[in-house]
Amino acid sequence: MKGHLHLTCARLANGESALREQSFCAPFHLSKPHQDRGALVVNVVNPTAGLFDGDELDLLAQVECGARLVLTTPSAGRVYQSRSGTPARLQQRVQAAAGSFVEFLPEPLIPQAGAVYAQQTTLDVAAEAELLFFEWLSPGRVASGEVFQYRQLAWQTDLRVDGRLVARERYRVEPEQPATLAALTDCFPQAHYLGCFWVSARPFPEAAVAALQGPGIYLGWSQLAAGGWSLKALCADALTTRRLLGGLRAALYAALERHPPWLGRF
Amino acid sequence: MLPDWLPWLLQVNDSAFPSGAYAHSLGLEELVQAGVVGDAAALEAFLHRQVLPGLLALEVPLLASGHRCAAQGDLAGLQALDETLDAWKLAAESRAASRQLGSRRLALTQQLDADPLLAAYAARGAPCHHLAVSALEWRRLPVEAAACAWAQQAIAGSATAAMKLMPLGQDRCQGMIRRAVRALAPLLTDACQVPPEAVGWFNPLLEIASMRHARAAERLFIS
Repeated sequence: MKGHLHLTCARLANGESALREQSFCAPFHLSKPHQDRGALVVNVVNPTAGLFDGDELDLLAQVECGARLVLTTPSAGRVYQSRSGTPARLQQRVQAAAGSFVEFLPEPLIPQAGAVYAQQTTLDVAAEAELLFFEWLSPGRVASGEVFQYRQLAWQTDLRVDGRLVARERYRVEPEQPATLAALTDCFPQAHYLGCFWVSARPFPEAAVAALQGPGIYLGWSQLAAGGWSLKALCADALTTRRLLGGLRAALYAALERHPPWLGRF
Repeated sequence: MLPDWLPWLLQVNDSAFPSGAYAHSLGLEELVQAGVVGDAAALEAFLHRQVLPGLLALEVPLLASGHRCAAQGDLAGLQALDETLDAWKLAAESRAASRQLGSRRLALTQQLDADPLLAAYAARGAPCHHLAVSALEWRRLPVEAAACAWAQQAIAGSATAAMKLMPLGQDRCQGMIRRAVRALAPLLTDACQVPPEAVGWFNPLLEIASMRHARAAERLFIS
């Protein structure tokens, strides 16, 4: 299945944000966008069971000057076994214009046994724009005893701030080659990985983030080369990851002097 | 006949060469303190499961790319790679360490021999990451030899740093280095040919360790 979601979020004359343009087709679907705490919340829904081999999805979110967008998903993203060996592909691009704010917060990715998945993420953030980007990679269907049984994840992420490349990540995780998993399993045998980029000219809330450390969490944060911060965490299980994610959102939103939309799960 | 580059390589890759590398553990100190790498056996596993694959999938291919630029005198291409290294290194401490080691190395090697290309690169205002400067300095070496030199100093750097962090004698340390290099060497030629789109390695553990080390209350190493 080949699907796309292209949307442009603009600031209206009354100060609210709204979708000025939207175009999508299956397996993308949008629930009705709504205002929450000063931002437009857009839930991206996949009405199918998840992603299958050969699927190609293209997501483009453009946030115009002064607009505030929270792009999220209501449930975990599942990638199913690839019968053909070809990957399910997702390309996602977020472009934040000067003076805009965007939070990108998908629920965890759950790659199931035999899944092959390729994800390419490009984040372009103008000077004086603010970005909160999260990604959460689970080890699989843990409750079913299916842990790190996917075949391959290929991950590519670039973050540009004011046109300059400040973060680049390229991962290929193949559980059949245990060395590619060592950085996860050497810390916690069923580790969840949480990654975050925070871009803002405001001071980073180091003390508040440091206070989130605790049992089952291995957390680090660091300033990027030119604008923004990277936060990474390995967590022992999903509940710990969820708690940490909630705490991070609260701390990072507070530093932005905004209130985080509730989203029904924090 | 003795290759011209061999005496040079032996000097600049020697542990006595004052590049400052001895002061860096590149995240290992934090992993030892956190108990992730608790003893010599865990250290050897760490080398084979995390350091070696990272060298083969990320650093050696990037070094080979820089080596190709340097060998062709393409300083703009080398600088582009050098600037990209700022983005690859998410942890500020490892990014700063890499720049510091590279800049120090570039300054030292210029004092030893006049090399117009090194001088030209130093004048460009590039970040001077250790990998980029090494690629430039070793441009007359066969690329596999340059890759081997890079890998050897990375492995030896981790192993010798560990001697200050845990009970580990010199003999065992050297054995560890030898086994790691023996495992790595046959794979270096292929690693030099990894296409740009396939370059990369997943190591959030080491990235987090480097991020945390920067805030450690007590530490022996700069990174």
